Amino acid sequence: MSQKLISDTALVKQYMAGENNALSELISRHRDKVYTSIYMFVKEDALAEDIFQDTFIKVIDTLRKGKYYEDGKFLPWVMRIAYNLCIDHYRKVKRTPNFANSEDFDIFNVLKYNEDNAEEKMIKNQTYAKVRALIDELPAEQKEVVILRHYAEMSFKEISKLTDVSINTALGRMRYALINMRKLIVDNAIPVR
Amino acid sequence: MLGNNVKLGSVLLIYFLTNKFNLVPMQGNFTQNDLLKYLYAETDIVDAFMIEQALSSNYELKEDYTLFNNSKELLNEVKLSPSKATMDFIFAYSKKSLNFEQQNY
Repeated sequence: MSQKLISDTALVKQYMAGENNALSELISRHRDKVYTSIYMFVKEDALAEDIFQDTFIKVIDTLRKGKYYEDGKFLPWVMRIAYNLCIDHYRKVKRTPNFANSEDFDIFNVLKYNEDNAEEKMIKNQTYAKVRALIDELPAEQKEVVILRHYAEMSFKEISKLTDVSINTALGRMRYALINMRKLIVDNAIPVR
Repeated sequence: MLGNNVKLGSVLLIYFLTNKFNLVPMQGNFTQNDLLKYLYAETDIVDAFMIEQALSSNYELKEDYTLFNNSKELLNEVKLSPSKATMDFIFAYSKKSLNFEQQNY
């Protein structure tokens, strides 16, 4: 049976039983979502690669030790690991005193937005670059929920648990994020399909 | 599973009644949060049906939905991938840890 038709849960079980190819399929399925989410948080290519790597090393170690208990929820589990690694990084470099729960909406503005050549290779068109900039313009809490819901595909309920807010707060932040994006689209005349 | 069948039956019954007797579709009081949950497929089958009914007749609701959907479509423009080197490292790490386990079993 093609591994592409097998569920995440089944692939995890196969991997824990010693089938290395199962991991290849698992990571291939979710790598773009995980990597995009990490990159949107840290905005640095090399750092995103490091955190992505560390994330899956933790995933492998946990699976190998037989300590995986998230039946049916592989991607949200991986995203929680990635999210916590992003927070750990910021705490380590002391770029910010707090992450999303801070009232300081400019939390990501303390980082340099580095648009150098290594990143430009990934940028295919002007709309792509503007969308990334749009997301960066959002307040920290809104940006966080956009990344977790849209790119990491966590449910609003999972996001509310992870960020320690009510589900209505998570929904409200997403709502304002999409509304603010619309305003930015109009202000910057970004073409929408 | 029984719950889902009951819900599906309810949806079909509502659809049949509204179409057979030209009843005005129930609109409900749907909030923007409800629309968001619908947009991201987090509503159950009955709520999804009700929201779709409401969207077909409530202009303001439809406008809100369009706004959200347009922003969501734009977010889809951003899609990044890790480098091959990173992927190779991860697969090598996995293989190495598997070999270590097999040797020590």
